Amino acid sequence: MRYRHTLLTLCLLAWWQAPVNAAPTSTCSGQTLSKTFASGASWNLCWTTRQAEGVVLSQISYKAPAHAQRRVLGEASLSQLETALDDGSVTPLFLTTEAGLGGTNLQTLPASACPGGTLHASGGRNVLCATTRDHGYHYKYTSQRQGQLWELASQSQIGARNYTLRWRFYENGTIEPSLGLSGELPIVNASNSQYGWPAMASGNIATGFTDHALWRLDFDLDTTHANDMVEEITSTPSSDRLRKTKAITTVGTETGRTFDPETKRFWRVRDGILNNGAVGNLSYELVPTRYDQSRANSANEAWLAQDVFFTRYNACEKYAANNPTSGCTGNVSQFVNGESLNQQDVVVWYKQSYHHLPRSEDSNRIGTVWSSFQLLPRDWHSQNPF
Amino acid sequence: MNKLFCLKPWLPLASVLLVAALQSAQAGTMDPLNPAELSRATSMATAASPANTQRSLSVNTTPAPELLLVERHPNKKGQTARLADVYTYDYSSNETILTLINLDTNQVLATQRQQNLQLPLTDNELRRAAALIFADDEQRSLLEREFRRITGQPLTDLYQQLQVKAFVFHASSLPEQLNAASRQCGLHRCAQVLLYTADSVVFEISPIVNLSAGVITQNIGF
Repeated sequence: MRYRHTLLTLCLLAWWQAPVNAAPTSTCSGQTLSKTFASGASWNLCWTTRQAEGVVLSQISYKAPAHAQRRVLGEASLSQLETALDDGSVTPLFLTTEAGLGGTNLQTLPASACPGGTLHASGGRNVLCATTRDHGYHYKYTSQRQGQLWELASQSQIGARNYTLRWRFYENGTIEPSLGLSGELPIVNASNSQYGWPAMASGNIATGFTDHALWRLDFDLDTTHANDMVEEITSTPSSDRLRKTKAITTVGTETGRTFDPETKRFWRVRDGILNNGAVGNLSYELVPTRYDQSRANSANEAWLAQDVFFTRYNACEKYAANNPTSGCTGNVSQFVNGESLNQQDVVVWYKQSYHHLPRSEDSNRIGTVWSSFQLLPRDWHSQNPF
Repeated sequence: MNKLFCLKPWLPLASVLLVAALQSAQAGTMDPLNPAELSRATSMATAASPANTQRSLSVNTTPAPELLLVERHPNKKGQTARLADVYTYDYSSNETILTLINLDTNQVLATQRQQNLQLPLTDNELRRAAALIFADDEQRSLLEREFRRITGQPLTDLYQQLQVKAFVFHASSLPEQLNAASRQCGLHRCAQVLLYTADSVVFEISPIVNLSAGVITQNIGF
């Protein structure tokens, strides 16, 4: 009888959890997904969909071949996406909170949208495409290695725009969040040519626009989420520019910071205690790309005034801007309020701005443009695990 | 696991236990709210903030409160209580009502009203915005002219020949281009409506609809 009860419970669970790939755990938000490469490297994570952010990932952990599995991120999402037309004819729109990447804007994917991959359903619709791809050289010297990546992609259509939210998880531990822009061009009257490019087959001017993407990265390194730290690393040139001097400073309290090509400023989130068995503390560093456009801030918004913000985790700090103010403040510049980041639960808010000045080839399907950045293991291992 | 294999021999017992299983299977997990929980949260929120619930038949008068979103309230780390955030728009006071509910204990933990917080438009609101535009003689003639310009065809069936999309509209960032009625947008709940032909060619005019006041306030040209 005991066996029968167990079987029944299992059956009911299996039926109710039919779309779920594994039994839920107390920390998994939504469904679990995992990928093990032929090398033995693996990624494990949970995913769910929300009306505002669309696909949200959580409990992301990585395991190198013959190494322990360790968690990197507690949660990761595109927490706000604002789009602003160059001519100011349409009010800048918070695509995440005012339109939503999820809900009915999250596209149902046909098999043709996921060639060679596997579709995963949420709410009874196939919305996530998981694909394994070769990415070329992992390294090349006297020996060489070809690497693979695991890609999770979803599509959101908002008005005439289509956004692809794509997460790439490399076999070597690198995480690459990306946003792909496509869709149809917005247009203005020909008299407003200074705000756009004559790129429409009709002869009309296609207006330029800027998208501000703000990613929310809740780092929870390894098993303990509450003992992480942020370090700022610079390599400052000497006056004769023949040497560069490294400096590491701990970011002790919540703050917003900007990139500086002169000093090669970057940041890493490291565990406050754990090391890799040798000299280094376990950490992931933020590798920005294309930050030449990050100064765009036409409306002089405080939340766009910095490239990256570091805050202590607060459950109601959900969106980098237009955050509901019940219990929390309204945007990431206000989340920064002097709390300590030393051995705390750290959230990184990374901004990526992209200005699009259309070209004729965008008429009338915008050629997909990717904006991406990377989270790179730094001393996660004591040596190259491959 | 095959559903029939599972359920057939156990059907009587299963039906008795099903409701309990649905409620308990996700207790203590971080899973999103299930349909039964969404429905329970909605009822509790409605009961907690009774507002003007008389749904008007006319599109031009103050609409009934609109359920905008029900979703799981984020837990503090290490906690697994199943909490729900219910967002409702109260058109009579132009406030978004946020009700926080504990589904484990069936308690309303907090209710807050906030102005100038505009969540995405619901399908119901999108339909109402379209109905307001289509019912307006001046708008209708503009749409007919624009449709003929794009397609060379007459516009005879608005609902078949047009696609309508809309976003929440805020006045705050372009005050200089707006008339007095549009300047209320943000405090009022407004829609900027994008119109397309059936084959997705976008109109060069975009009406602003003040859903709180039930009027089209102006057209913005692209």
